[in-house]
Amino acid sequence: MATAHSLDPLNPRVLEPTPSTVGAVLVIGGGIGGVQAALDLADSGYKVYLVEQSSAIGGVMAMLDKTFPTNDCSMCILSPKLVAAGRHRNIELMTLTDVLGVEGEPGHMTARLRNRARYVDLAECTGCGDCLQKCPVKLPNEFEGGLSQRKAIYRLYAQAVPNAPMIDRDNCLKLTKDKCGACAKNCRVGAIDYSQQDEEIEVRVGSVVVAAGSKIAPTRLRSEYGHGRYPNVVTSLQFERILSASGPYLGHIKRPADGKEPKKVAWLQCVGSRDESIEKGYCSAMCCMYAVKEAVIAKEHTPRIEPTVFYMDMRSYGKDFDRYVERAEERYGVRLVRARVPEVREDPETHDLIMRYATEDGMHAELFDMVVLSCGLVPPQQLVELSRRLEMDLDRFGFAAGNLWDPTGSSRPGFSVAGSFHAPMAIPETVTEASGAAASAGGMLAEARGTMAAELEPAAETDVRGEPPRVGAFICHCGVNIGGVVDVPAVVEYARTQPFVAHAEENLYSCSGDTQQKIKDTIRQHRLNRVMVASCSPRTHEPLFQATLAEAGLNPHLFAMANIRDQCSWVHAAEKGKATEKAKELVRGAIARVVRQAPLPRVKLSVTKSALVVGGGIAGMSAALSIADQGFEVSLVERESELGGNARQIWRSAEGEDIQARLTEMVGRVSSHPRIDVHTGATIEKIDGFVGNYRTKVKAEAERQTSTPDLQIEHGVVVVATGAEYRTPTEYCYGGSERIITQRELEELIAHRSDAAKEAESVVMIQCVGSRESERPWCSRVCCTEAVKNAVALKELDPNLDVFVLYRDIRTYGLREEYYRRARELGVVFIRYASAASPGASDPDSTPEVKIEDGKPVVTVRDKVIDREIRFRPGLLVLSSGIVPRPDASELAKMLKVPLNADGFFLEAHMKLRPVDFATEGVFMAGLAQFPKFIDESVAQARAAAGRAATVLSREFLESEVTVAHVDPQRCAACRMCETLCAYHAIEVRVVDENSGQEAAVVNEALCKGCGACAANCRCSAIDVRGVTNEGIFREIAALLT
Amino acid sequence: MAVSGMLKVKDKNPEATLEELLAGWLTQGKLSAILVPVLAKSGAAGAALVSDADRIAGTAPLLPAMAVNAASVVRDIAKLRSEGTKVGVLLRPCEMRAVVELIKLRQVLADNLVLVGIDCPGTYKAAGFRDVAGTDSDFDNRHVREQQNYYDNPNLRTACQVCEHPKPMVYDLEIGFLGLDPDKELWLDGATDKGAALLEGVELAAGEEPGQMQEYLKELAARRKNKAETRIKELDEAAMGPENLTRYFADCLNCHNCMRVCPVCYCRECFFDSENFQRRLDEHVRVSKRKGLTRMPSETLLFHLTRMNHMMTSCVACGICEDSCPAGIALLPLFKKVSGNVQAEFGYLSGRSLDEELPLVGFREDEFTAIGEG
Repeated sequence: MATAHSLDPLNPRVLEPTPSTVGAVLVIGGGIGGVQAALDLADSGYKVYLVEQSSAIGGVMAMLDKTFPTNDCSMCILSPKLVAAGRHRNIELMTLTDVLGVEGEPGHMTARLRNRARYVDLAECTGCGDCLQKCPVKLPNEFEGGLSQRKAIYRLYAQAVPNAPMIDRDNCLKLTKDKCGACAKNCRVGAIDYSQQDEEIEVRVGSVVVAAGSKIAPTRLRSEYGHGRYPNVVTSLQFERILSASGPYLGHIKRPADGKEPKKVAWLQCVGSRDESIEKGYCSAMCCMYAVKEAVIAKEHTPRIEPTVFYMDMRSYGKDFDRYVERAEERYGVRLVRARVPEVREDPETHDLIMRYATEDGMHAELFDMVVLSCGLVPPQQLVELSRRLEMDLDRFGFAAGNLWDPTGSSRPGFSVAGSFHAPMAIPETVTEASGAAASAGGMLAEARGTMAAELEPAAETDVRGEPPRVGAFICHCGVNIGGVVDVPAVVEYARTQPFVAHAEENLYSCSGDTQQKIKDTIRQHRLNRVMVASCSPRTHEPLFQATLAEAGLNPHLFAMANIRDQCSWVHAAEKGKATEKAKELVRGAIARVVRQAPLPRVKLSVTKSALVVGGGIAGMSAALSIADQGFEVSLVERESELGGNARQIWRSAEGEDIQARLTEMVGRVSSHPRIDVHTGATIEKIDGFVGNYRTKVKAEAERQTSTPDLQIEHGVVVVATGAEYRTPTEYCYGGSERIITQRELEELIAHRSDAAKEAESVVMIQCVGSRESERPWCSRVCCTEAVKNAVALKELDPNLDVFVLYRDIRTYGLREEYYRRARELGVVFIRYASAASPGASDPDSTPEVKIEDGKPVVTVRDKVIDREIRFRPGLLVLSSGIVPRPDASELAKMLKVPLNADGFFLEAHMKLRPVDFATEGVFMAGLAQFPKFIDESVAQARAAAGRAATVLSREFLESEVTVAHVDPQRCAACRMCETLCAYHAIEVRVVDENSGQEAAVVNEALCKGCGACAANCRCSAIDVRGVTNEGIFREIAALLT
Repeated sequence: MAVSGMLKVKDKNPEATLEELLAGWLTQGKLSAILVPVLAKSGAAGAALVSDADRIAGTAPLLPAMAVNAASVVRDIAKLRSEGTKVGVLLRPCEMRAVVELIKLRQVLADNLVLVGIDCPGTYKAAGFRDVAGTDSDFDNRHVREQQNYYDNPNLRTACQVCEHPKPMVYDLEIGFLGLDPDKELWLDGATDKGAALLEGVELAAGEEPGQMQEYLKELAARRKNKAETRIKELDEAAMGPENLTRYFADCLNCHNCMRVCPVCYCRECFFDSENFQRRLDEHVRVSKRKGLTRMPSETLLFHLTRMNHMMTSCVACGICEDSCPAGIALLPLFKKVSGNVQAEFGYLSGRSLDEELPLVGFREDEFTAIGEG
């Protein structure tokens, strides 16, 4: 941490010396976007200053209960990233810090920061929480949406990183009135420091990533819904906290007014979104999904809840989103009502809410127990001011709008942007952009890579093999957390009686700095070769103790922990005697285990510092450029004879850009880049190897080849950017008349034969052709915007052209809502033809009918709004046909051993937090191969893949996991269950004895993650995970039971 | 290419007819050897790998007695890769199902095997079979001939009395007689190229599978299902709850016979025989001190539960474990119930097909959603 004290603001200290290009990056914002960018940069050899204005990183994602579409616990998937960022040797975490300004040019910048006083010394604080108990001040807890209270000294949330609390200086009695001081009195390590001052710090950086986020739309924008007046009207973020097990109601769904369990709960969509009257004309891109998710989770918590979501268009445009919505309706009984809600009123007696709403059938009134406002995202005023200080341009809504070809760029050179600071977006897009921004930021500083970042140097290790075990047992009081319940001295005495224990002692805080030093001294003094700590959770503290062992020259795996806090003193606070007995048993078990632990050596693997990019469309080319710009060699393989992919048939973007001109530019850059080797007319024949060490055979087709016919490429990573295809419609008489064309053909017509387009006089477009139906249940994501784009183009060609769009939901999500608004302003008529929100449920009665009469299409459709049949005889019928995966995607997937989803798109490692990774290390993806998307999204994803690739390519060596699976070939029956089960393709059965032909499983330690799935499933007990062996577990169980 | 049809039975002696067929495969060089049930002169039932056609006459293809599940033998002889030989294995339906599981578990390499499945109306325990069969040289034929009497034969092995799968489900060649008059004809179905090759040159009355076979099976399955349900009800009363279950296994000697004879138990060394279960004397004393007494041998219940845990998805309910238990523990009903329930949960039936994925190797998002979070 920055530890500059009482700095003179007029003469700020420069923390770092000044090399030519500074190999450091300032990351502004400690939400998931900032954290991801920081981790990627720090893993790629850059020093990172991660600046967060609140007291802990985590951002909005830390407030969420579950995430769609996988219903993963948000904190469970976020927390490891936060811990990693907090501990990373190359990340300097700067919380409670504001950015005052950044001066200089890319490569050489100085950031002025103000670090506000926490009044708690981060170096001393152990995070025990004793100080929070005695604080007499009670204030509304902002993190919990004001639904519970916090103290004047408080931790932002339970799992906060850093875990130290802060003092709210405006409300602390000591700081405001010089009274109280209870927290300092209660702190046993003297970490409270009322004398701390704000300080100004300057850091030298080469570039800046701004991932400052956004906030939810203030509910006063729609005061007619009564939030703030009616207690049972809550925001969606408040509802997330209500759902959360660590939230104000501990996960019980209750009404704020009276604590009663609600039955009927309504979600109102588009609060502060899609509403030009309040200058929020954009769609917030995520609310439809989070509302449906909240409804599903509420129903799962409390089956008697009847959730209803009132929406305008169901914008479930992402991968597996439509399936999620369908399941919400069918399996969870979530009621979806397409309606407008003018106002909400409260029955003052009961606090029930009376909602009037307009559907296509007219006005209705209904009583609800609770109403949740699905608030959109808005750029907060302080970020608008920050942007001004940083000299970055914002769009009219206050977002740092990027451009199509540089989605993570900004108006200021050297500044990259990511996440909802850039545009409204959900977590996967934010994480993608963050990795992309990291790639851009890293690309600018490639020459300074490694100049300011530290490589981990392991300390020399004492060889303890062959020595009889000498165990040191350290039992922690954790202040009063453990010591208040468990008789710690008695446990220490007991530990002394255990076999192989050479030393036992108690610590007030085992994790505090001075105790760490004491443990190191004790290891040396007593020649300990095993250490057991009985304290809190290994999840948070094991890495710390392992580091201590390493510093004392012991292999970090000669260690075991007993959790006598969470699993003992916390849960048995009322039974002190029994708790002490249980603590003894847990200690006995951990000692039995640690005696069996063996040192695990680290294994180093070399890295081939080049990438293979498969696919030469926009995604592939962008990935290749970004990797090459970061200083690594790239082989780009494209099976067509020309680069460009699908984009070669796109003429104009919705933003009005000339695609072909920019595409030619991009192809030119790729072809002439000194670090990119282009192989067109070539296909991948075989891929061998693993992360850091791939060997790929490329076959070039004779007539289209640009390189030698059979080529072997050695590379360290792979980027899959093989794209997808437009589907040729088989419905609506396509092919039966030249007046029935696809959206893509219309675009070409507008671009090249605009006169012919004008002659059409009237144009009808049909949306969702072949999409969102039982055979292809996904939304193709781009067709609504494409249709709107072409509709606008037609109207601009000739305002007298009649344009009708027959649709199910208009999904111009995010800032694309602008084009939809523009289309309506220009007089494009939108007619909805389907009544159901979910896919597959497209009801056949309402699907448009197309016939050809006298060579011309005749379209009949039932307008759901006016409930009447309408017949068109358009000059042109345009079909918005969807995007389908490449039929041969499975071949590449098989070669790379990576999965496809049920629809045939490549399946990422984690939909939320690893959107461009595969579970198999060293393989990344970008573009339409993953799912349909727009050009800017493809570019962002390609850069993200490049950013992730750099975390591998920037290393001299990869260190394989040490806690990997290990097979005893004498026990292995070669049944191959492990082979089929392994998610990482890290284990396979091979002949291990040529003479007898005996087969056994063999582990590839470079790929193994040590998850233990194979070991747990191995009936023969032939597989052990090093460091967590069957024997160790059995010994521990045996010790616990005896 | 599939070939099927009726084989005419000579002299009302189906067993002899079959022996002639089997001997033919050896003399014509279609097979290098064949695994067939035998009844030794001493009266001991078992199986033999026969390579000399002349020795086929001493075998008993229709022998209604089961000493081991022959899948265990197949596992022992056909695990390693081998070349230049083709061996036929004549297996009863439960034996065939176990072999199918073992193929899926890579414990049997089927490349050099020809799987010949034969219908089975039920078998007697090998021990004591000589007392049942006596000196009746026509006993085997009588057993298949008098199928009507085998709906509810209380002398059959308990597993057979409740068996609902008396016909092989996976095979290269099936020899069928259930529902037919085996004195007149046998149904041969060469379902694969391997199976069809064995029927080359064999005179068959071509035709479809006769309908009466299916009718007979339906009736048999229904009656046995009833019986199985009754047995499981009895079991629920006897073994439900931890106390009853402990009592159920109370007589266990810890001999591990049940594991050794189990056709689908395939570890090279049983975990329970490994040093993980060896304890120091002082540790034994500490265990004892908890309650003041530990029953010896210890961990017998853990052994059975672990074995159950490991085998439930592949158990074919052949009951050979029960036959081999010297303490007479009624293992079959328990294993049949638990394996039946477990397999039903996965929509799986052990040995039904080579293509069905083993339950525990596939992950499906929608399965067991009621368990765990969310």
